[in-house]
Amino acid sequence: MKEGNILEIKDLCVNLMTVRGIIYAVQGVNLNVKEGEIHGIVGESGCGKSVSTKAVMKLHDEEKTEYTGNIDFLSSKGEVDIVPLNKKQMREIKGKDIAMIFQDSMTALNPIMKAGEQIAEQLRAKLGLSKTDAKKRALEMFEKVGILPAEKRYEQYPFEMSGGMLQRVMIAMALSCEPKLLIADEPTTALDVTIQAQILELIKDLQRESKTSVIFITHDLGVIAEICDSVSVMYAGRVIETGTVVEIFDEACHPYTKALLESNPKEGDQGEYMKTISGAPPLLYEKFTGCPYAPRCDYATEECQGALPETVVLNATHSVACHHYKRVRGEE
Amino acid sequence: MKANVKKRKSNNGVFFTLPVIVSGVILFLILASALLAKVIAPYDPEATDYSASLTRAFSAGHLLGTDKIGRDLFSRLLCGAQTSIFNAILIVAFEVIVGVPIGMVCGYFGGRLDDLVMRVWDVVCAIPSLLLAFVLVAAFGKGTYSGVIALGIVYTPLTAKLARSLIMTEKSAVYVEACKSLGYSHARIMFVHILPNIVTTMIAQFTLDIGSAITAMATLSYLGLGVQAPKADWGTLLKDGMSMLYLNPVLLIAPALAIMITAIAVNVFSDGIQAYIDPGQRKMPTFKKYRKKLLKSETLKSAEGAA
Amino acid sequence: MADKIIEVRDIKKYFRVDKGKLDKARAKYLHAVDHVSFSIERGEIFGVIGESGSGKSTIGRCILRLLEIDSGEILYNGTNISELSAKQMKQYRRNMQMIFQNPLASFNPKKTIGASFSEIGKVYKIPKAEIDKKIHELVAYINLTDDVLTRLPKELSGGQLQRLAIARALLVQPEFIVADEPVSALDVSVQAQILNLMINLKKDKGQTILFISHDLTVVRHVCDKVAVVYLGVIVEMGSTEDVYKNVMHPYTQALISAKPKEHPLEEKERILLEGEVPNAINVKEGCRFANRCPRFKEGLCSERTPKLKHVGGGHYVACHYPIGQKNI
Repeated sequence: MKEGNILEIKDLCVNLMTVRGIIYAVQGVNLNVKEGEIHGIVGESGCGKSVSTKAVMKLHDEEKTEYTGNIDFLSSKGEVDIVPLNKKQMREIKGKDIAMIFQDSMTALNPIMKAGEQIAEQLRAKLGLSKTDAKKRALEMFEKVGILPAEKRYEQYPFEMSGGMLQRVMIAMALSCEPKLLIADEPTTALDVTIQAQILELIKDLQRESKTSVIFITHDLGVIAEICDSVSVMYAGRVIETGTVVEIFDEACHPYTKALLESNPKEGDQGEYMKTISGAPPLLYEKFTGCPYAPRCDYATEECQGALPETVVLNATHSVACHHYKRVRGEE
Repeated sequence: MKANVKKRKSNNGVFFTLPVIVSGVILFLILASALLAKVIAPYDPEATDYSASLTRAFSAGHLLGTDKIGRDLFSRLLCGAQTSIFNAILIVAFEVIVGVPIGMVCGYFGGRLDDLVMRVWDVVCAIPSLLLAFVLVAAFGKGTYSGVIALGIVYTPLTAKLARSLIMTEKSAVYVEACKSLGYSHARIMFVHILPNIVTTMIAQFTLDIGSAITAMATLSYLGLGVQAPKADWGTLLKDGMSMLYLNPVLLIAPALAIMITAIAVNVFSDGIQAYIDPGQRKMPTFKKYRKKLLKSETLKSAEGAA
Repeated sequence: MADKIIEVRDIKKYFRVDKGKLDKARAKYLHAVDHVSFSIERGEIFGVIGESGSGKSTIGRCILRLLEIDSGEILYNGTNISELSAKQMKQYRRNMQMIFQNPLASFNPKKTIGASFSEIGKVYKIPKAEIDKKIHELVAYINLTDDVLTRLPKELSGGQLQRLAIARALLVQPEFIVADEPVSALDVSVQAQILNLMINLKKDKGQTILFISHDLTVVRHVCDKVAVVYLGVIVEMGSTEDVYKNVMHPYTQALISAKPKEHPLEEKERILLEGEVPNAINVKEGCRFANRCPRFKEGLCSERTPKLKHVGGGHYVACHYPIGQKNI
């Protein structure tokens, strides 16, 4: 593993068994997350962004999932490859070293247990704290994430709380064991804009304070611009471009990244036609032999149909998987 | 632009799993022999032959032996199957024809009518179902059809409740609202749009009901309230067999087994239907098995190609 | 004078939330829509923005009479349609159509798209040849080919289905369409297709649309006029330009500032609203935004409900202390 990285995903493939056949949801993902950064993963629904990060936690049903590749993670006990770990070994890492928050916080919490007790319970199980210590620590976490008054909220059940509050509970729960890596899977998608702004601010503040690395999954480029240090853009089960957030917004080299940026409505173009990407993303029932974006791409040539583009490293932070990245940048 | 979504058949977790096949075959055999009872039966089921009374099973001429007055048990069992299954189908038909529309209307419109009908149903459901059937038979008089109607009435509230709850979840679906905004009539929305979407779930329930209707009708006949002698169904056969328990136990065991096997087969088959309707319940092959299958078909293909 | 196609006058819709309790005097009501008035002119796209629970969808459904209002009037081309019987309403139904948020759910899952389309012809007694021709034209108009008609909804993508939902609404040539969050369930790249289609409808056919959304950028992009709703009341209304450039209500301002940045290097002043959106159960006199408002002043704000007032140029605001004006 490279110095300064906390997570290195190499050639990860995840195949899922479904009623309709095998889905090749992740087809060779390479991804590095540095210590103390917020790394965004952006892509449309079905691009494999959730599946690949859930693989880091091994949250897929084991009997119906196949993994290949490596997920190297710098845990508190040293470097491990997550892929071959069994359930028991995973339990050591889950919750303690890697924590996760979900889009739907209502279903992610136990509906018949008090919100505060759920955190205390986890602290007792993972860190072996006593009952009183666990409660004290849970109350501290509530105050930290702005669930006030903490004492009163501790006694409330999830259904008594609003969506924004529940997301705070989730964050408190995830961060209570001081994980090294936090995976946030569309945590603000179900929230209103004003609440989303609060939650993003909270995640940013907590991250700055604790230096936890964060993987932030979203489909919203605005949220990426708001919170992330670096970004990976995913399409059809592969990472097609990685860079710092400014590189992605200003020097996008992949036609898909470019199109995605352009199809977002902006100030000052009211009532005008927007750039669209024709067609829809492909279904992942087969492995790709050519570039999966080629049928929708303006730059596509015969080369794209025939060969899967290799990832080209442009500089230390920026890499792209496109045959024609030079043309996209206007260099040719 | 072409629609780039391929039509995809589910090739995994198929309907024909082993239990479904086994129960399906058993049900098919029972149904076929019931339908062809008159043709297959070696003897007239109601013909008495005092010279051959209480013949042992597997003896010459009589596969399952004969009863007290010399009627061939095998023939009676076959014809009993016909009566039993036919009656069960009648009972289910009754509950469908009466219960489903009532349930649908109540669930769709709700309000006072719904409250009223549901309270009546609650009262009906509060009385133990067999007891209620006895009371109804007592009111209608003994006999096959009063038994069928009595059991039909007993089952109707349950069917209506099922239809009602299904339509209540379905009526809040967006496509129903879309239909309303397109100005469709209530009848059209209910029967053209909602019904096809809930019918599959109901079918699973109806097959299950046929199983329990067979046992319930057998109970009535066993108690002498349903099918009357000399006509036979499995219930009356059971009753006759009971009195001959020590002389010829086959007379009791055969109809009992027939009822049991049919009921179990119906249940298993209905589970299969349910699993087919709801993909979440389907069993999926593990990756290992799937790969093996894939490999096999691929080697077959390549062998064909080579040839 | 401008041609008003829809005029909503003082409509009110309360939902009883403690259903079944007998004590009517202490019943709890959710004030989903509370004395809302506005009008939509022919050929414009009128936006309604609000957060969840603001009653924005309820407004749309009330206009189409998918929900019955408690009081007030809805005028369609000058006729009050809020008191018509179901039968009388039927002739107006085909003039007003709706597009829903979830395109997959808005089609009957057991029917092919073609069957869903031609059924409309049957219901409205349009001859088969005519409806088939129209279907063909519309499918071409939304950039799809006729082979989608043989498919079931689950075989198509969200973007395709939403375009088909729009085509279905257009089939009866409605004068007025309510689009309830038509793009919020779709991916960005597909969202643009739908928004372009909406703009096309306005430009080519002069279609009048009520566009309900929670997304400020989307509303700004397609709408001519916009109303901002908060807990069942309109707090600010006017032309899109005015409302965005010349913000007067503190809630609108907070909403605009809460929108994520467009570029990582953009410097943005952010007004973070405290607390959550409260629910609108048994609201008392006073401004509904008072408990979260950064401009809250003791007295007027908590005691009197601000009325929606005209501040010139078709711009309305409901605030005791609007931004940029000393006093009204």
